[in-house]
Amino acid sequence: MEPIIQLDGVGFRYELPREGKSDWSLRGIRLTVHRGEHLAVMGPNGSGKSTLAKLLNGLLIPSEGCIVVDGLDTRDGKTLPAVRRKVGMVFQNPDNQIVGTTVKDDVAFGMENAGIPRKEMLERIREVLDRVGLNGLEASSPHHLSGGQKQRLAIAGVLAMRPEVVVFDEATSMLDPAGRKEVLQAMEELHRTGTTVIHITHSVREAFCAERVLILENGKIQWQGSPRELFLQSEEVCRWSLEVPLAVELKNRLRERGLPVRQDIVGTEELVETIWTLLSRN
Amino acid sequence: MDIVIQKLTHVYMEGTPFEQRALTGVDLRIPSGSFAAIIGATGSGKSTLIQHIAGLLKPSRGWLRIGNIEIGPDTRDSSRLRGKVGVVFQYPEHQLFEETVAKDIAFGPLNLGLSALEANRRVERAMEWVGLPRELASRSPFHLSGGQMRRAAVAGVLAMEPDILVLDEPTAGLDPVGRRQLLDRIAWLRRKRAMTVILVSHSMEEAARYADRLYILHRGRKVMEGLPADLFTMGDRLAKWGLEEPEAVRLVRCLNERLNPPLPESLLTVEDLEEAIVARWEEGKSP
Ligand SMILES: Nc1ncnc2c1ncn2[C@@H]1O[C@H](COP(=O)(O)OP(=O)(O)OP(=O)(O)O)[C@@H](O)[C@H]1O
Ligand SMILES: Nc1ncnc2c1ncn2[C@@H]1O[C@H](COP(=O)(O)OP(=O)(O)OP(=O)(O)O)[C@@H](O)[C@H]1O
Ligand SMILES: [Mg+2]
Ligand SMILES: [Mg+2]
Repeated sequence: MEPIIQLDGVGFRYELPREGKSDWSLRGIRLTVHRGEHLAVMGPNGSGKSTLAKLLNGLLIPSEGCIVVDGLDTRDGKTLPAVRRKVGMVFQNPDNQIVGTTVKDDVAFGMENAGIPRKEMLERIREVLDRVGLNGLEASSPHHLSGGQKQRLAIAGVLAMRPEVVVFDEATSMLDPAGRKEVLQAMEELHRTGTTVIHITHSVREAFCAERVLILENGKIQWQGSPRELFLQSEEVCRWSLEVPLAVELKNRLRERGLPVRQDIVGTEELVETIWTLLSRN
Repeated sequence: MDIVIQKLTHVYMEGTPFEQRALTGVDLRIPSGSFAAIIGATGSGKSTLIQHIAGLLKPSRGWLRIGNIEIGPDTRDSSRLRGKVGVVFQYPEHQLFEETVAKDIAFGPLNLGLSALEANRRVERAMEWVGLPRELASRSPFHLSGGQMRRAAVAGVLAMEPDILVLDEPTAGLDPVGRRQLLDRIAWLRRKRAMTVILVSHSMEEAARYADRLYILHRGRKVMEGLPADLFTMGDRLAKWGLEEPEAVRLVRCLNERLNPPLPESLLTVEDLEEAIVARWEEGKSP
């Protein structure tokens, strides 16, 4: 597997207005993100997830250590515009990401700044609106879109820059169930077509879609592995202020009450099957 | 203080080309001391509705009454609601403005005329309630993580100890343990102080676990109200309004497709499910 982003000994502290430097918000981060990977990042509030995200596209520069994105060191000011094109970001509040007065203008904004020729721009607009399923809405005002549509518009704006990596920082947390589904589908589609997806989330259901989960706590990487492995260790999950999926919690509770339910169940279907067998046998 | 809303219609920028109708003829009543949840798809009018309850918007038509304060299209002064109704807005960063977290939380209590000493006591207590570490008290609220910011905004409102607490997506961005702790704490405060809580949430699990009454908005109209156990088991109709079943309800439905006799449908939380399954299992063991 080919690496797309490498972090070596990365630490970061913020500059505070009165107190000077903050404590370390991240410390000793060693991490390789692979090309085409779908990585979920989880962890308690204040554990450093958003700080990590902003370091990945050069919005923040490491206080120590270095980050290399597709061969470019983010500490090198000259390469920063290229780094930002390679790593796109989608944030939590859809309203804060909208700049254009029409859907089309909004997607065009980043490309205009990057000096992309008009003909190519129009082609890309058509292509990305198609990919996120907003074609037909080119002339609409973004403010009349639903939350899920606004987030897909934000994704379209990012995709127009042809990024290698897209980082979603809690991009679904403000959406209704339908909107959340739309954005998750768009994310899956990106991953399927080879884009590297990094998804910061508090939702176990969403983390389940990832190939690898990374847990941050207190600015350090505490754990990494597959979602399945993660949800088999319920105690740690709780210590990291996360929750396990409903099926896992129910399984744990039933086992505690003495029902013969297998320990290694993590999915709803397996659990339904087991409970059904148990209850119909006696 | 009961909340009574009659034929409430709200049109933003009425009479301009940008006119936007957000609520149409909403009738509802939230009894004093309820834990009410308002749910509905994006743009269904939830935030508009609660801004009326908070006295921040006036009806275009219709009226609402909170306790003995009535607000209609011609009401001049809704400041009498201040101190009675506390609101946590959907985007907390719009709510924070002071130099430090502690000053921000103290602002409300001081504004209510409390002494600095009492305000201070409330700041400490509210920070503990929302799970904000003490050392963040002197930090600027704009130099916090997303979840810490939201906690600070919630603390500022809890510190005012309002009679009616209105929460617009209070847990978006909180970690799962923080969510649970915050809502448990709010449920506890409500019981202790007979406070009315109005929760707007996109999480069906939260609405199912905490609310005793549910109001569903769809395109600016109230389409349904009732007990969570009744509304959350309506299946397809929920999807029509852009909502979904809580996970526990979905799991029961999967089980009941095969199980005979089925489990009761009204199981809304993992605790309900646990009890029902254990009971059925023990029944089977001792015929
Ligand atoms: N602008 C800032 N200035 C100073 N400190 C900050 C700033 N932003 C975040 N911090 C601090 O850095 C640490 C990590 O914050 P970060 O925003 O990365 O957390 P997070 O994991 O994204 O949390 P959340 O789940 O709440 O969004 C926290 O202790 C936070 O208080
Ligand atoms: N300040 C405003 N000016 C004009 N229109 C507005 C304004 N605020 C809201 N609207 C419109 O009113 C309708 C209801 O919006 P509201 O914010 O009440 O919905 P909501 O249910 O809170 O949605 P969400 O779940 O996305 O927060 C929407 O069509 C919205 O676009
Ligand atoms: Mg964050
Ligand atoms: Mg709203």
